[in-house]
Amino acid sequence: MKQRLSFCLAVVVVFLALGRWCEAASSQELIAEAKLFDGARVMYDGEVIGEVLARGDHAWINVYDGNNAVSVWVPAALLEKIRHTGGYKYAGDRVRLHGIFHRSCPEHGGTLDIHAQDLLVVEPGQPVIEDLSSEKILILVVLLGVLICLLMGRIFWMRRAHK
Amino acid sequence: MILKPQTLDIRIILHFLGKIVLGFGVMMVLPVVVSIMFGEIVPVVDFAIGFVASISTGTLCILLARLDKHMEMSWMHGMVVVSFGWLVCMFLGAIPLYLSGHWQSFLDACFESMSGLATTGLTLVQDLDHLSHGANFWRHLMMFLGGQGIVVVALSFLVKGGSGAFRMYVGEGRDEKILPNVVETAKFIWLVSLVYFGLGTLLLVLCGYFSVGLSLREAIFHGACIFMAAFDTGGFSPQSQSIIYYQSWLFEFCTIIVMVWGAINFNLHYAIWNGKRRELWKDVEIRTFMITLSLMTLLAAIALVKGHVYGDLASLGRRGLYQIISAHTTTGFSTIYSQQFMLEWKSLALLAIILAMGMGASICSTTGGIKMLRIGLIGKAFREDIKRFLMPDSSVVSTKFHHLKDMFLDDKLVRSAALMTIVYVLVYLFGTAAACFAGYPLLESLFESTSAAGNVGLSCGITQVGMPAFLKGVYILQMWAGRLEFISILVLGGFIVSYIRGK
Repeated sequence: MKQRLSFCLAVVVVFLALGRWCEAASSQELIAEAKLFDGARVMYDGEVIGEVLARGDHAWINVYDGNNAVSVWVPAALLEKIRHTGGYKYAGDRVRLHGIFHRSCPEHGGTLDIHAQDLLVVEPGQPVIEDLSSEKILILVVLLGVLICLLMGRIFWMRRAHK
Repeated sequence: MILKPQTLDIRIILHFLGKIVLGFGVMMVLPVVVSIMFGEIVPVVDFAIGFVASISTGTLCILLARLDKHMEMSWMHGMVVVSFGWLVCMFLGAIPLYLSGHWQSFLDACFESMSGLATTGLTLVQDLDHLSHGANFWRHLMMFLGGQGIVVVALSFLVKGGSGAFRMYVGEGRDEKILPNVVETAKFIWLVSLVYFGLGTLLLVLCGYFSVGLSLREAIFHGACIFMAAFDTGGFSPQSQSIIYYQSWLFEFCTIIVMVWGAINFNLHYAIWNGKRRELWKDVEIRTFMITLSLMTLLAAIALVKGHVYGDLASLGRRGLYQIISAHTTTGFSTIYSQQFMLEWKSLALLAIILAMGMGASICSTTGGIKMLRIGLIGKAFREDIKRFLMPDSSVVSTKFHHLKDMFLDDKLVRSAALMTIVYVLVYLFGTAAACFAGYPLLESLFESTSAAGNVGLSCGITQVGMPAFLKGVYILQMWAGRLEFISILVLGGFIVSYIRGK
């Protein structure tokens, strides 16, 4: 009986540890519960934004989950999967990564970061097509008309003043 | 009896207001150039609308004024032109931002615009990481224009010199001329700023390219933007993570150099340009700044070490000291997330950062807050009073200080410094009360209010799109008043009252 109980307890501990070992977390949770997640293996989803900042055999990527962007330290081997980073003209690759979360990373000057262990592109990025609305063109044309009228009024008034 | 302003008063105000607006509008050409360089089409149209709206407003003002000959401004005209001009520029500057679709409402875009012009750095932008280069550049350019002064722009190119020009210059929160002629002073400010812009941007571009790992094109863009935000002690950044994005100690160090350089009085820059480097160490402002910076750093360091917030010295420097320098120079760059202030920093460290934000840096610079000269003078007056008690009654106690030249401390100077300090503290408390009224805790409210009125830009999380509209209005008012140092805004209030109630 004791052995069975010990076995059950061990199974529960292992499951709990596994759960703790890889928790899905949002950026808000990571920042708000930084002490709780510190040193834990986390799963984090988001869009790669900005640029891939290469540093030797690793690089920094910044992953935005809709609330905040979190810096992720990625080995060069994993970077090959990333094709697009997000900006004005591109929606960046959406990635799912597993890694060790640090509240204050001793290796990187105390920054809040994740050291990625594996990375998966769940949705490739794509170009964003600019949408120029006709309303804006109309506003511009009307304003230009107003400006021309005002400039003509100014020229007229200046000529009168000179006389 | 209150005298009602005459039609001529309004015409003079409209004339110079028009010139300021024209100068501001012309600057919208620059983000158009940036947009074209990055192949962005929609922002070109957004800025074209902003440009035409600004030029039309400026032309309309000049047309309505119909001044046949050059008229000199009185103090009242100068102050009203400046304070009202800043409001009009806020609205016009917000147009291209709002059209970009990254601000939820026009009020939010106005908040951003005032935050930029007043070199504050609090932001209500949504999805900044996908904002166009053109609009992003405009945010930073507004800091550069607001930091040097919108009036300084107009004075440099559009307004003739004279006592009227000086009155506008003073109205913009600067009370020290560098050169005898105010237009020459304005031109010197621009010369210094543009030379530093070239040098500082080059430094940050090199650092961004070699140390951070940015592509050359992005390194140039980020270098220019970060320089404008750092030198003008503004605090906007091209990415949502502020300085965290770059993950480079060298880049952080370079921003510290630019921030501190921008926090120095323009008169001292002039002295340095003329080879008088010793002025830098003799000046009461710099000495006071060194003392208060050391004290605030010590306070924060004790609190952060005691609370085991950062594990080693490098972390303490990059996450602790950096925020204190950023706060004290009223820049607002950050190497930690805004929520971390309240979640991780201890009360003593928060007190240090609030005090640093509240005190600010130099007079006649782009910084906000009470300013070091005032703090220094009040400190010296205290010392003089204590000395007076300790000395025999018959003794004469006098205190000398060095600010550009050797001067004696007199009651008039101390009174003026103390008055401005009291007004600043009252404005900080006003914003705190407003945030408390909105339901935020006291410490957070004090933090955010001091940041807004001191034109700092660090946030503990209150400044968000979802905060109450009236609080956005209060912060806009605080940023505007803090940047112009109250007098011109009080005169504008008096002008409106006299127009309504005067006879």
